[in-house]
Amino acid sequence: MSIIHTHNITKTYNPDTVPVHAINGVTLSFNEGGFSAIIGPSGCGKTTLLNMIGGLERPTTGTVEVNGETINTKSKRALTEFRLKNIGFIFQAYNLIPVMSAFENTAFIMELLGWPRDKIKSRVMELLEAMDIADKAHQRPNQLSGGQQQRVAVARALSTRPKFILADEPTANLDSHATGNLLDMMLKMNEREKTTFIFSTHDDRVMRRARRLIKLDDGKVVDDARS
Amino acid sequence: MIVAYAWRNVWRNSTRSLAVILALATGLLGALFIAALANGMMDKWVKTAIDNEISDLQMHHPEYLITQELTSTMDQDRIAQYLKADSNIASYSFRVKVDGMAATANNSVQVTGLGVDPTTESEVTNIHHLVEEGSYFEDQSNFKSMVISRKMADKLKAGLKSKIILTLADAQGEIAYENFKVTGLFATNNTMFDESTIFVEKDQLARILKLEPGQVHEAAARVVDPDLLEVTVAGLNSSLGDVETESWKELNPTLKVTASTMDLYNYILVGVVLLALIFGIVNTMLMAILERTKEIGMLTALGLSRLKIAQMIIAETVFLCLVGSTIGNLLSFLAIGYFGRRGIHFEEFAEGFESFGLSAEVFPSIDTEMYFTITIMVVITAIFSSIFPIVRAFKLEPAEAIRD
Repeated sequence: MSIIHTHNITKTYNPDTVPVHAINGVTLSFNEGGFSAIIGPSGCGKTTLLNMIGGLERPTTGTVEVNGETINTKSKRALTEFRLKNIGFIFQAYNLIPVMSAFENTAFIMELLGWPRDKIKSRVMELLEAMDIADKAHQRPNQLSGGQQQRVAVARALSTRPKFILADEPTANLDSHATGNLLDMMLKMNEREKTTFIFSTHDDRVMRRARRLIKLDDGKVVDDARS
Repeated sequence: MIVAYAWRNVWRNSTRSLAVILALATGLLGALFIAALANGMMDKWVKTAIDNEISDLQMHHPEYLITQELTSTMDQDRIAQYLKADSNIASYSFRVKVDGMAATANNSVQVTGLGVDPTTESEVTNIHHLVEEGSYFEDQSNFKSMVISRKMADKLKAGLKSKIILTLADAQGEIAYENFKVTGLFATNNTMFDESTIFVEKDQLARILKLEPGQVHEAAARVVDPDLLEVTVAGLNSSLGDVETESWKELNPTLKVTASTMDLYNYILVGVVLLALIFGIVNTMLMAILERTKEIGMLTALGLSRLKIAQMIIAETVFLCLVGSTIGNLLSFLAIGYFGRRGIHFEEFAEGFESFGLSAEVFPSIDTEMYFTITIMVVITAIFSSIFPIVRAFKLEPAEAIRD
């Protein structure tokens, strides 16, 4: 069942001065429980497409629907709430809150949603154990390795069981071993929690594990292969 | 969670935060200490004026206040009955008062002569304690005693045992004069008072003025509870319709206005200091926000609402300012407490101070309430200072912020 659908979306930056067409009419659907990767060379529009799916940017034309709901017409406030309740984000640079421990970083979104304390604690520990970093729960990001930080970021993204997770180059700063471990963890969660993962990447290691590869070039889908 | 996050953010760049905290603490210490000094001066001024000159309240014939006519007198026995009956009156004394000329062989000075009953007067004013040479009407010789200030003695080129002729117009409008012997020299810290007031015994002055027995110009009284002063004054005014009773605040409006506006001046002073500090606080918070552009963008992407972002920035600014104000208040409390007990003597400015009736020895003091009010002012300043950083944070677009 398709939970995300983009219909002929375009994105043009600086339309009034020097227009840059980042996305040129992309129509895509993503099914629930998928593990997809958007690939392509640098500047092909991977991050822009991911941002539009995640409601971080609005398409210049076209529509983005999530669960049948058009999100690109929502107000800023409604979009923020929508992201909070529906989407998990994983960023290239981990983007953890440096003054918070791994536990607190993982609990952050649940706290924002007002979950009860005991429920937060059990969910955080469940995720940190699944990510194999339960023993690092009280350490701050600067005390963790890059791989461990990204695992905390994955745990945070998964914490509220969002409908889908958008991961922008999640392995770009990781070595092979850490990348392998992280992908194992994400696949495990994809299977266990049926969470939809959409990556933007140009990392072969991610491409090999993805079940669907969407290739972008000059803002257009040039290939869409499923395995 | 937002509160804990904000608190930790304050200490992310501890050097920068400490700079603001120290600026705030130092600013408040300076402002509060100056306010305490001003309060101390004011308290001493009021206390000295009440103790040495005015007393808590005075009573006069209503006409006397306007014309200072010597015939506008009151019956002291009748007034004494009312004063005795009032439970808030601690002590009282009656005075005969006249303007005249005090002269020695060397000089003459225009004076206000106060005829007092030394025993009762000692219970309403402190002049007897301020006699530095001689005594306060304890000389039992046949001479009529006069107690004058050192400054007056200098002007008249007189000293202890000098003869002074007091010339005045009596109640019938005729010129009268009498010889007095200086038996006591006093010194207050009010130059104006010292250079214009002489004390003689009431009965002697009343005789010179040809007043009817038992007639006086002024009654001065001290109260048991100063907080009930206005009630006492109102009570006496309603019981004694033909006598006007006034508190020290009415008798010396300048003193009242200055004392009552002192708090306002102090708050304005602190307000100006806080206003100057706003720029530093805004700058620090702006730096903190700009340094965390990517983080705030990430938080917005994750779903942190604008309201929560505003709460976070306000909490951060309030924490920063509260730490500074707590240190500032604590240092002020210690400094004011120490100097409040020990006193500060402005030796070099003593003459200038005394010409305004102020003591050169100041005991800084401040109402405890002021610390709380200032803390509230600091919180308001912090909230105000966070507006600009909040606006900057709101302008961040999550996608752009993360990309940056």
